[in-house]
Amino acid sequence: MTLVLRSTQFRREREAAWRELEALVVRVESGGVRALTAAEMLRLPSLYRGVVASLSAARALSLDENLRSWLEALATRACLVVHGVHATPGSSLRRFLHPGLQQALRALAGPVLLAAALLLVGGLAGYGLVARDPEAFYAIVPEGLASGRTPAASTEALREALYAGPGTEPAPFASFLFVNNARVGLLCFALGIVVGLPTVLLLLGNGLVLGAFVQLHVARGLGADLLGWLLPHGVPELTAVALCGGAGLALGRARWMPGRQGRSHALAEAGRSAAVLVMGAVLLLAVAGVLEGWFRQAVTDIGVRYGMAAVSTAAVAAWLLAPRTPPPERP
Amino acid sequence: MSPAATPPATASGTLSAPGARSITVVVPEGVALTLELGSLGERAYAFGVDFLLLLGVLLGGLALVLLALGGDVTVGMLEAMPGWVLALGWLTVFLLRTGWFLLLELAGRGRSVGKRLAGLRVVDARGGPMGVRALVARNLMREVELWLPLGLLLAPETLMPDAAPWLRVLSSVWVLGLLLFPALHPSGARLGDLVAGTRVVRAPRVVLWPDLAEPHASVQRPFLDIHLKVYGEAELAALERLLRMDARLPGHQATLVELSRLVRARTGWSHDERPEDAEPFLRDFYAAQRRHLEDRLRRGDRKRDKHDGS
Repeated sequence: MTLVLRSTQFRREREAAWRELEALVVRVESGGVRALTAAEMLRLPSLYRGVVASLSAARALSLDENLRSWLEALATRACLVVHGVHATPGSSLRRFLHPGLQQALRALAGPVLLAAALLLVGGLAGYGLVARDPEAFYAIVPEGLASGRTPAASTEALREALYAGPGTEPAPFASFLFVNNARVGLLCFALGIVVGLPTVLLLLGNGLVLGAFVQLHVARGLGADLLGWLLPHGVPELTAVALCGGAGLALGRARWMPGRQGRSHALAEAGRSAAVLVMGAVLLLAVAGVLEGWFRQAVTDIGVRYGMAAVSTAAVAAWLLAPRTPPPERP
Repeated sequence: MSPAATPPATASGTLSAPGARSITVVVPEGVALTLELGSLGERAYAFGVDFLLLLGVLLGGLALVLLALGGDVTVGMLEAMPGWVLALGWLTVFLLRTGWFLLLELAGRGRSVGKRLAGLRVVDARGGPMGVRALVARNLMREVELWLPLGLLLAPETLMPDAAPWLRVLSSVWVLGLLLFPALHPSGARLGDLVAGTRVVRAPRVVLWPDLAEPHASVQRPFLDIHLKVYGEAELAALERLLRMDARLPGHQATLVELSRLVRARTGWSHDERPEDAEPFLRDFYAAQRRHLEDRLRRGDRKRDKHDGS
């Protein structure tokens, strides 16, 4: 009869390696991976796999509860260190700007296109409704938003509003616009959890207002002037609305039609990609805020306005449609 | 850890607390790990800490701006401020409000300051790798989980200037639903956790104590199979917990004496034992019983407790 239990022998042989891993994990937990030397960094994965193997073995041969729960806790902590978040703010920003956003857009292309279509449908409906009955304008556009630009206004007043020089101070106006639009964008995404309905309503509503506005100006022969006023900031802004709407619709779709993998999995997949789209939209809204708050007041020449519209369209398209090259892998 | 050290009386973490909710995840290496979920109280505490920090930063920033302006605070000051200061203030408040919790979780690699204090951390709900995207997603949802309800509660007239009464009722129901959601969800997730596929779990803290089966005396009691067939794994674990308790606890010695008497009666160990030998006897019995049950475990013939089979 051997005096020492197999499980005791098992522990004697391996405890040093476990303790080595524990020391490394404690250091990473408090100081990040940078706390480790290159040699320790190389040692970490193999020590981790060793502990995972020890845990499996301990479950099969040891009835020492303390040992088993300690090994499980150590494996958990080491797993979080090995597989956890290591990105620095700088590196995650770079990854988001290049392959991150484009990959998310590809993954959620359907919902984003649907959001754009809803926006368009709303716009056409708004245009059609006001064309049939100008009084409908008052029902569609809130008074505060119109600020006097209604069917009752003279064509001259409408033209003047489009070419008004610097009236408000640009900086507070731009940041006010950005904050408001970004809030609506976040809500568009987050409310998608309620099976996407609020998102659909927000998209249709936005489209309606825009369509009504366009009809009002087109009817007075100010169509080209309105586009010059609208497009430079409108392109990034409407793109952002479509992205946020797509993010919200993706959440709604995951709840309606989760597919084979189950609802929680579908929701998590959609949510993670949608979050990237929302970040992209916030960035676009910041650009739109600057263009709307400053450029629109500062530049009243229609040629320059169209030039800017072309530039902002090209920039947005170049960013969103950039090739999705595989991400630069970091070990 | 010196062999003389004794575990705390509660033996916290030696075994998971009974009734604690947990999830089982399979890590990429193919082993199932059990993670204890953070309780609502712990999570509320962690959130409170982070939220107070945010308020502190906001109020501190405001105080600094006011100090820089000369300390003469008047109502007209807001209008008198240069436009860019106002713009910057607006922007800062929004970015802090939206990004604060994300910032704390990113900086702490899944543990904000509050979670660290509460002993919690964010993990992937299925044990997979968790990236920045998940942290972004779970924190963006705070827009509807925190800021929208907060706005509805504190200043309903700014959000809904001409809200119908039914809309107010609806928004109260919404707020209530959000507050109750983690309590009703089977694994305590809030909306952000669902959208990001994450869960908040207790950061495991277990101490590895010396092996109780290490031989402690030159002569060991020769237990036979007939003495060892009574108890199963559950009783072994209970004995382990008792032996790991702090010997200085009042009544501990009496418990050991009583238990050793009981064990001798049940197993038929007929040798007389002196009362002061209760602990050595129980440790010997523990080692022998563990050897016996581990042999059965290896043969695939487990005995879970004293009611289990032969």
